[in-house]
Amino acid sequence: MVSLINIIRSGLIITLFLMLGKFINYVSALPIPSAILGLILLFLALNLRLVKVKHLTPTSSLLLNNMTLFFVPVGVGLLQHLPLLHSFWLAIVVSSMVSTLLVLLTVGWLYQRLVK
Amino acid sequence: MIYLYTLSTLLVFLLLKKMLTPIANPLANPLLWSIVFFIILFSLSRLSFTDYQQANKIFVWLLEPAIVALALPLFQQLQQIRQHLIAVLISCSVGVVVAMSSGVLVAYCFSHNQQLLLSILPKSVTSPIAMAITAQAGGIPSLAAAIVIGVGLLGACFGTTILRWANVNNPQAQGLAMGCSAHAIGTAKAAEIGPEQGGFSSLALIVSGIITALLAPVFIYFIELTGA
Repeated sequence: MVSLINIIRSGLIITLFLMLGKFINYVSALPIPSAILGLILLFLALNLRLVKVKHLTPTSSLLLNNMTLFFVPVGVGLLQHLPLLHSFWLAIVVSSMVSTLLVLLTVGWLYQRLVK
Repeated sequence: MIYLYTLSTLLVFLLLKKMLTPIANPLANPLLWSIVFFIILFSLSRLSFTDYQQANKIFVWLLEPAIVALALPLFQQLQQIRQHLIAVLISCSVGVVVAMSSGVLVAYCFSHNQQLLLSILPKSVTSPIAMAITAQAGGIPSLAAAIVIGVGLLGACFGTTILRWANVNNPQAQGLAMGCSAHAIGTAKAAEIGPEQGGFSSLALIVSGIITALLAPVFIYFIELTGA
């Protein structure tokens, strides 16, 4: 039963911070998504010891371990944009590949050099 | 009955994960092939994609709390982050400038369509930020979101392999590079590799998302000049 209570408690805490993020996103003009605001607020709460790490498990690990799964329907949504993607596919594919490669290498190498 | 679609997403993903995990090839990515499977299924059959979307809202809905939960690996890596805060900020800022300028410049070689360029501009940040930037500039938000997902998949499939080839062996550097280039999809992959990669990837996701939102107006100004 202890674990059920833990699941409910951790689920509620994470939901609460998401709701806070949504509220701030709604009342402010910030172009920052609610989930990111919720992340920042929860991070602050952890630092201020308002929330303890053990209060967030097991829901946090459930969510984090399965995050990739949640992207499946988002990706299937590409289906709706096939005509647009079709007309610009070459520009999109080449620029995405070149640019992603450059960012990976720049950030990886730069950070490795800086902390050496 | 549409909830069979919910179950099918779960089963297809778990099955592919089980099949592909032992394969070392970067293309053996369960997310990629689950998406390909359903796109082919709905293109070739008369099954309703609208029903699929309706039934799978639960997963899309779970994405937001999952992003909030990223605060945990971030907090657990706090000591390391504090020591290297300046390095993190410099790396992410340079990464963001490289991401926006290279993406737009390469696309410009193929097409001068301004709406396309504005939709490609925020391709390396999480889709809600990308859509907001593109919408504000007069691009096509749904196209921007589609490109963001494609870029995320690219990073998740090839990111770790490319970094290993390039001798980027520092787990923190790996995490930052994944988060900066491939936002939340890259972060999900980074978190699978290790907590240090996951923590630094979520850090890069946040920092580069915010820097992109701040710097985008400069790039939008230049894109608009090309059309004048």
